[in-house]
Amino acid sequence: MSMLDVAHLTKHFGGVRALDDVTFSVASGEVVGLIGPNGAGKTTCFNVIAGALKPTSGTVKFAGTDVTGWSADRISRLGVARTFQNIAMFPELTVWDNVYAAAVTRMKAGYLQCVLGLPWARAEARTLESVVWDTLALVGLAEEADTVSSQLPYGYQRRLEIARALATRPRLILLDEPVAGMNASETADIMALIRKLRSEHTVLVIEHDMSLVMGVCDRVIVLDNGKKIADGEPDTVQRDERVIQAYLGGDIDAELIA
Amino acid sequence: MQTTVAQDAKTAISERARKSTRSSLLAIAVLALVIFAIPVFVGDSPYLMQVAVTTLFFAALAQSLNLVMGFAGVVSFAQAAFYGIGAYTSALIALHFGVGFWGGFVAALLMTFTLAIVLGLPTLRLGGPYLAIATIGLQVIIQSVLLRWTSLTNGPAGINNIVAPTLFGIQIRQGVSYYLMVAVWLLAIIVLLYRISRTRLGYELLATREAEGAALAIGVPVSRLRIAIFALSAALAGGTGSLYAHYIGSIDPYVFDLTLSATVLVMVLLGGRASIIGVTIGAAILTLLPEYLQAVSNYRMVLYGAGMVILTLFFPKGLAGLAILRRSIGRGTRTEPGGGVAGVDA
Amino acid sequence: MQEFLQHVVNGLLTGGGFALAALGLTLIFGVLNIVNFAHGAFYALGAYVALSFMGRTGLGYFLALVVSMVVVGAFASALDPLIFRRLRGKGELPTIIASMGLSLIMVDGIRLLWGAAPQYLESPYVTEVIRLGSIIINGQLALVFVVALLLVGALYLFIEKTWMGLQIRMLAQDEVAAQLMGVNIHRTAAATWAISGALTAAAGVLVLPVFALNPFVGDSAGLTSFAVVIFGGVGSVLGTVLAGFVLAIGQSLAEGYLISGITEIVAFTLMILVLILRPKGLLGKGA
Repeated sequence: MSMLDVAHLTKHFGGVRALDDVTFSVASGEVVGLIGPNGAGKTTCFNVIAGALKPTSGTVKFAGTDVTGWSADRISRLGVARTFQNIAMFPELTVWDNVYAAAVTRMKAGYLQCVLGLPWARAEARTLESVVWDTLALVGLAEEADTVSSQLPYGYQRRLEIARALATRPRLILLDEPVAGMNASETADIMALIRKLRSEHTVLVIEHDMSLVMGVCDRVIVLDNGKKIADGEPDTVQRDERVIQAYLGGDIDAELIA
Repeated sequence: MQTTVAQDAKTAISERARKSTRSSLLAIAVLALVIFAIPVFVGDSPYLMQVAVTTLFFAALAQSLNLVMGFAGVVSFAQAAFYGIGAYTSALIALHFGVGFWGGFVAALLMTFTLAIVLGLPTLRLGGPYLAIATIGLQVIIQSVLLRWTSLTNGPAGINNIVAPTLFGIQIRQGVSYYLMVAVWLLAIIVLLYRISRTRLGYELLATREAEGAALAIGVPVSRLRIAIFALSAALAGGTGSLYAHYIGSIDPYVFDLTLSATVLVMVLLGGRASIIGVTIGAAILTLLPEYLQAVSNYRMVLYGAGMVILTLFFPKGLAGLAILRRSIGRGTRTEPGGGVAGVDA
Repeated sequence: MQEFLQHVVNGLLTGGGFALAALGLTLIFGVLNIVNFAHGAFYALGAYVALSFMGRTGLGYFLALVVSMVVVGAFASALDPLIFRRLRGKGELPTIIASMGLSLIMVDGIRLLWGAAPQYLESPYVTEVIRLGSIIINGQLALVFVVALLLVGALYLFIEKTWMGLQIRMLAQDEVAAQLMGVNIHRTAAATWAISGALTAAAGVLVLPVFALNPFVGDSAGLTSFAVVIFGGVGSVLGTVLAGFVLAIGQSLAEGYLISGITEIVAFTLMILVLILRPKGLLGKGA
């Protein structure tokens, strides 16, 4: 089943064409990489898919439902989660609270029922607490649960973002540069994490780090100047003429031209 | 499978959460005790009772603002306006429809709630300073309307002979009995805020306050929530206004001005955003301080102003940020229901 | 028809006062991102300083105007290192509260220093009247109009042609970039406050001879300035000036044809509408 269908997606900002007739699909259970030189439109693509931006034209379908133009929170509630390139935590809250706040949004019990302290609401809240602990354990942040998130080291902040995304029990996860600024061992941890995720989630990853892309992705989509220029298995894409040209013209990543 | 360190963290948090819940409940219980004990000590002096009731009114207003400012992060200078609308609605409805206090009270709640939604829909989309300025605009406009719409509100002369409430056939006049009524209202608000802070709504509101984009990304319906909380906060202020009107017997538009809104706002800041106990204490301090500063009453405003400047420069987190009070503030994490949200309790 | 013209002329003249009073606010708001609630207090302070100067030295009105601008400007520039520098980057709420506190200190300070009883600032033009056909022009208002335009012109030249003016413009655009390009933020901020204080004080000295002075006289001027600034577009000198005239004319017409006292409601409703529909105001950001 197709988890995500993006068709003829275009986004203009004044005169700038951030996205130009982009079409691709992501099947359920796939881990797909979205790469391209800086300014290619990758984050814009995420923003449009997640509802943070409205496309100028084109459609976005999530699991068959047309979500084009939906608000970000509505899309999130449908089962899409995302992380941010610039990290957007809840700075004054602890790690635990950050993740709990995300988990709580999926409660069946409504605001009033929780405030009134009705038994099933309390029970559900208790269940959620285990979910939060499990999620923290999964990303390796259990020890830091009590730390105020703004005081976390950078690498842990990125993990927190992922934990928070997971706490909303999504079907599709959009990771925006999850290993930016990380060293090799931290990157390996995240790669292992992504591999753990694939059994229950579909993942779309923006990354510049080629070791992650090659190591974890089933498929790679390449954007350049807002256009899709390649779409296929990592090995194939790596050798694609146009992709090499795009990178030579912009960022050069030695591993890509291996 | 958890490491020992993780297990330790879990235990530590669990312990802290239990302590935090206990201390919060204790604090609220103590507060309730204090509030109900006061008439015992000052019941004989009408003047002191009046001061006491005034403190309760301010505390209620401050908590209503705390809900929208401390939890949802919306800076509002319009609280006095909703207070006034509640007061006027209650007085007028009781007068024209003969439904007495209770009818007026309900009408005040409905009126302020609805008005806040109508006004909030366009304005709550604004960001940062512009939202604050817009609420100032609302405050000024609403007070002006109360002042100028003479045919409805009787203009500057205000409304007199507002009927006192009756409960089970007994009239509740100024003094201990009215004090108790307002006390019940205040405690109801405090319990409401407490329950909100412990549950889903509180967390979603904090998310909205901390990082709106991220809140949307996890599925929090930010705009709807903000408007709803703004309306709820306005309704609480309106209900307080109704109680005020039927207490004092006559109202005029001059009371419900920007200065009142600002005073309530400073109470919230003094107490510490989202800190329920802190805000109550803050309200008490700011209401009682002028009474005790009679000696320097000539310098009152200057001192007040200086206090505000010092507050922002050196105590941005208010009372709740003081080290002494931090002892009982569990960092909000919990492994059982009731741990509450970071920074909520003092 | 003549009545209509009279209202428009009155509005035009008062507009100069609105514009001048609001300019200081738009500078502070646009350049330093500070919502300055003490703005009205500077307006009042200007008039009181001029009053004292004239009272003590027996010297004339125009000299008092200049002295007042200098004194209040200097006072304002001291506020940055004392208070507002420490609040930079902490969001809008601290500056709002701090400026509110400052306003209380200043207004009550005025009351303590000068007393609360009404006083009168003497100007040679207050009782003068010019007649253009059947239109009556109040001399003082005409003075306000003329001097306001002169000061606006001077401000425009300063901002566009001087080095400090350039720094101010850069700071208004982007604080980080300005710093990277060598702008001395502290000095530029102090200068902005000084200019704002001076202009606002001038507005007070020019307009207030028409009314009686009391310590609270700046409150409504302060609030109206907010409406003018938002309407004209925060940070835009031209916009503020335009907005000042438009609102003043609007107010004059409203007072003339509708109920009096409706000014505030109209001004603020307009302000809110602008915020909702066109936050940039008439001319948007870009002094």
